[in-house]
Amino acid sequence: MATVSRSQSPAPADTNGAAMAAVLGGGIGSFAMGAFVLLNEAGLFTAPALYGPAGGVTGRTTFATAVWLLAWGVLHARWRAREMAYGPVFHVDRRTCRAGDRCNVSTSVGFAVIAGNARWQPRARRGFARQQQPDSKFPLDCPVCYPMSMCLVLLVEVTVNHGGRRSQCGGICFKARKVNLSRVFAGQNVGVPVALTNFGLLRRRDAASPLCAKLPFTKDSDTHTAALDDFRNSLIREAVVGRRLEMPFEAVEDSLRTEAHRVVTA
Amino acid sequence: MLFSERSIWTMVHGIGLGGGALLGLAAALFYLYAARPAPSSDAETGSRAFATVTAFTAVMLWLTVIIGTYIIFPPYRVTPPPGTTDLIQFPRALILSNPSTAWLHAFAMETKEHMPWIASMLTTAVAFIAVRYRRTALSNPAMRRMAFTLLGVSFAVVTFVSLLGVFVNKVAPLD
Repeated sequence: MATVSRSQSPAPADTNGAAMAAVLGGGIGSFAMGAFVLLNEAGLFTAPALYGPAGGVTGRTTFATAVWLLAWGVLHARWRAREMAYGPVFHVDRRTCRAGDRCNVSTSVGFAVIAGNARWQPRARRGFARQQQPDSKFPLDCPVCYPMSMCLVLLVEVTVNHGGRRSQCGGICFKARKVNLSRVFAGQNVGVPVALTNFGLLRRRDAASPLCAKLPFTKDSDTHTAALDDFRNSLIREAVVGRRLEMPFEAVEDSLRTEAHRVVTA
Repeated sequence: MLFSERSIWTMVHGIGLGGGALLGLAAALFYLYAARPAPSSDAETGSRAFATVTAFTAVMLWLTVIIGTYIIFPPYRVTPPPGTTDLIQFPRALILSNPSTAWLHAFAMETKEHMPWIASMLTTAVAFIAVRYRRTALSNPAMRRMAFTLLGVSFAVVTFVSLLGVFVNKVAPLD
């Protein structure tokens, strides 16, 4: 039976995370090079010439190289001790967790939100369009604003989770143990809507979507409530406890549902 | 003097460094193919040679693109003074002066300016993998396939831009 076990984590030297970071970093750098050229040709953004005699190519290539190094560095810092699945590294699927006995394809909840899930995006976007407020700063019914809003969610999540609560363990802690949200939420559908609900992007009216099936909504106006915050904390707590006790993945999931119900009905 | 300074730099860029990078890429690709472990073998077939050749290739590629961008490209794109009729010292103007060769700047040089940087990044990624995972880079099928793909893309890119460079240098040599 598949288990979520801390003891199964491979040693950093044996993990392939650093290799995957190098590969994805190269891909991002290549994309950046193409993007800078296209933006330049379209007249939307012209990189300054860093060496006059050679012209604008110096700016474009330097900027792309900077993006490459930055992306590689960030990914390396995040993944070097992880075992990643070969293939699309942004793909987060619960089946992979079960098959691999550990959630080894996790990047972060934010990455999962950005990458989206082919099954979720169309329904989610319709949901966003329905519940969009007139004074919304981010019109969520346009294809450009949707990923932009997802990026904002990621930015805020990362800022809140990794920047604002620094502590002894270097992140969010539970009993002096660092809680890696990426691992906690890896492969769990519930991670994405929890991230969204934290910022009021989803409401109970979207609960018909499988995206929201596990959320503790009680009324239509529920957005960013204490119950949701508690629910989110309970996810972290349960996942840590589950990992420590080597509970089966299904048992962790059941406990999450129970905890959610308890939070709502309390 | 048999060769001008600009001509020497062009040869260093195209034949020395670019040629060295192409050889290195070919050698690394062949090594990846030929040194694959036997299916029944449990032994790790890591190789210092593979790490060395990919690192060498990455260095060659970076030197090629940096020298190409900052040393070769400026004299190529120099604008001739008004009234100049002999454009032999101004390769870009010479190429653009003839509609049948204008594509060598609009397509070939534009490609040469940017695509080799992509090859450099991808080859560096493989070199990093080869050095860091020296013990398992060859024995791990997924990692070997990934490295083979990236090196193959780099080889194709470098071959293509090298061919374009030959065309440009044939029509408007940087003498």
